[in-house]
Amino acid sequence: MKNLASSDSTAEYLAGEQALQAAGIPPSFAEAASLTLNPGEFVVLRCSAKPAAYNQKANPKTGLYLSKSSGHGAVAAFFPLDPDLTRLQNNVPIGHHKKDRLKIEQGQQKSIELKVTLLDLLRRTEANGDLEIHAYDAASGLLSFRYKNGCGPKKNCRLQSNDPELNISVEYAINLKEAKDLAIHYSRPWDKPENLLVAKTVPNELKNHFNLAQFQELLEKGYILNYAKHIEEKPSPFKPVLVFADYAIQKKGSSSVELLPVTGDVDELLVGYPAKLPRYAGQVFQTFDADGLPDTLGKVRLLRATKQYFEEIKETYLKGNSGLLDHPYLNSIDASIYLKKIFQGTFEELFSPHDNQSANFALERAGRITPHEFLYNIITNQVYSQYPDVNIHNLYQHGADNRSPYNPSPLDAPSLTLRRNLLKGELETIYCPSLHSLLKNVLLDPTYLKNCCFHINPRWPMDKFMPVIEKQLKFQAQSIFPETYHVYLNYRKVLDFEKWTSQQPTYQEPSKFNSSFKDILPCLEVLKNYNQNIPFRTKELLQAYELLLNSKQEGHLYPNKAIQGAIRVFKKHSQPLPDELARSNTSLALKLPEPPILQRSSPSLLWHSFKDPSLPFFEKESYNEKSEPPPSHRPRKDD
Amino acid sequence: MRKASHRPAIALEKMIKMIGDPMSPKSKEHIEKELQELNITKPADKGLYYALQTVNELIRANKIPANQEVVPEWHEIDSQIAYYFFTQKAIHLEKVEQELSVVKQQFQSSPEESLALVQLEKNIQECRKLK
Repeated sequence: MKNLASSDSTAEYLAGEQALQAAGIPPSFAEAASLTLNPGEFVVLRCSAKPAAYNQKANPKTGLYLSKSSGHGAVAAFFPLDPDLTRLQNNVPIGHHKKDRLKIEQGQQKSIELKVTLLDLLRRTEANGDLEIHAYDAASGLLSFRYKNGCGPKKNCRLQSNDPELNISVEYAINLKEAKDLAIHYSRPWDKPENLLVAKTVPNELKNHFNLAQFQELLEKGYILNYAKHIEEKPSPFKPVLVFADYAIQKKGSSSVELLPVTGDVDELLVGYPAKLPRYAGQVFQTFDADGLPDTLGKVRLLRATKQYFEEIKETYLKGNSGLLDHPYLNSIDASIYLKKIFQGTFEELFSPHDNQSANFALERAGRITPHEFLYNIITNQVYSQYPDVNIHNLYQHGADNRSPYNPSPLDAPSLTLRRNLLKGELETIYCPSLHSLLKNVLLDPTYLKNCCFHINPRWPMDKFMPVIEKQLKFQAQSIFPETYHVYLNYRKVLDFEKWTSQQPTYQEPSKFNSSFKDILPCLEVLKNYNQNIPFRTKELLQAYELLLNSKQEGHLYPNKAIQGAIRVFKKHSQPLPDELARSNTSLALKLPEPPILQRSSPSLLWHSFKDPSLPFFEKESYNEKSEPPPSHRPRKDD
Repeated sequence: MRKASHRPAIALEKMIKMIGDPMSPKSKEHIEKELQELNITKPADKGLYYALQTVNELIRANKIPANQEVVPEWHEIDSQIAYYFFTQKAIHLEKVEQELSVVKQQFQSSPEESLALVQLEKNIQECRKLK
């Protein structure tokens, strides 16, 4: 790992081929995806699980599949039919999305037996892999693999409430005596057998049966992947792993239909764009609405704007080389080779949903996207399809995550940035293992912030992205998405409030308040709508307030403890009581028969409640029963 | 054969009456505004757009159950028709006809509800003939 700041280990990153290798991205795709970037511009890709088998033909996952690809063992990056092989959360399989589950139950989901090579499985046994060889049975030819300790699915389930928990362990196996035809294409140079240590040594389990030459002959042959689920360590028979499959894009005039396994696509976190982008090309369109239903008008709008953008670029391009440097798409060193053909044609030829021969970035799956991003994705897919070593086409399947109207996918996952060097225009690849690293090494880099605009999703955590927005305001104010700016302003107001409350001594008198919780309630509403984190003190106030509202909505009288707890929180943060609390205070006083002190007016009641150590939010150090409160905190006599 | 220009557009109200009142259909004014923006003036095209939007709204209102979920083919049909409105070339409607027959089976709608899909199919055929 390279290290920008030695004191900050979380900001580490990888560069060059190491970055591509860590991200599992083929160099050819990185090249195609960076072809249209100007110097200083970048695209950030999300890194999914490294595929268990990626050197054979496959279809990328489309938006039609809502399940997550599996991320472990011999099925990583595929979509196994068996729910016990799906993605893990705390080592427990999450299962399929309900829509996909329905398709499986109704027999509508196409599936295929997954073929792998011995090399695919051995790669997973490397130091950072999650499998290890279990055994080899020379008589049957069965070579089995199991998960390393602590890896793989471990489901604790009870069939009946009183039943004991059941542990399920999974084992994979291939039969070395039953090799199948499998065309292998190496799209990643580091993945070739000559570059892999596991391909150079015969594993101990096979040593007595194969010499090195025989072993290496087996490496690139295809085998049907089998698995067995052992419940409570009771052996169960092996059966083939079935994974989601789809028909491959048909060549024009070809009658053969090829069913291929579905594997992960490449998701963009964000696509950078030049500051001089025409306004209409940066406008966001949607191809389906909030209910997930098709948006016909949105699609036509998007197509029209993208065509206009395409025509504009084409006009510049066909004029010759002069002036091309100003255009976002035509500044790349290698651009002429691939882009010439594209820009000599029409937009309809580039994007033709009726013609399956062309690389197609499907309109219905685009989601929320700008014409600039739409064209970028279409061109990248088109260019990538021209590479000879490609076994998966159309890796871009939908718009970038920064446009998603839904809850964002976890951001603290590895990412790969493809960037054109500002001075030389060379392709730079930066693998960031965390969001912190991405922010520090890419998104907050002032040199690149000046040259590349990008939108921040209003649902991304504002506490992390606020510094980026502030820098954007400084360098590229026009690049801030209005919705994001709205959330940012509200977040900043809440932060100011949070800061103010933290600086106040407790027991401030209401007349001394400068800022009130009531004032920021609308801001909190905005932040909640965008799933933003609310700072600690303000959150405490909000919880107290909501507790109060909820008990009111339920039609009960305010429970004594709820009121006292809420009052305590408001007092602790030097906030005047909300109307609801003030009113409840009176009713509480009338309701409670004893003790006499509780029947006194509110500040005394408050003071009394602060002294009760059994209640929440009690601060022992601040409020000692024996000592008098400090003068500034003492209840006023006239109260 | 009647001339295209004399062929009346299929009104949304008529379709709604025919297929039952969906819970939240787009208003006629809303669709007329969209037609204006899309620059769709030919009656046959208008009819197609109305039919498409009506099916959409019926799905939204769960009047067409579509196996509890909207089938992916429906999205593709909508895209193909959107592309037709973009290019004004009927070639893109050929595939739609094939896909619609698949969708009709998968929607598992009652005879009354499937009328909307039949109507859509008729509109597609009409647009193709006129091109």
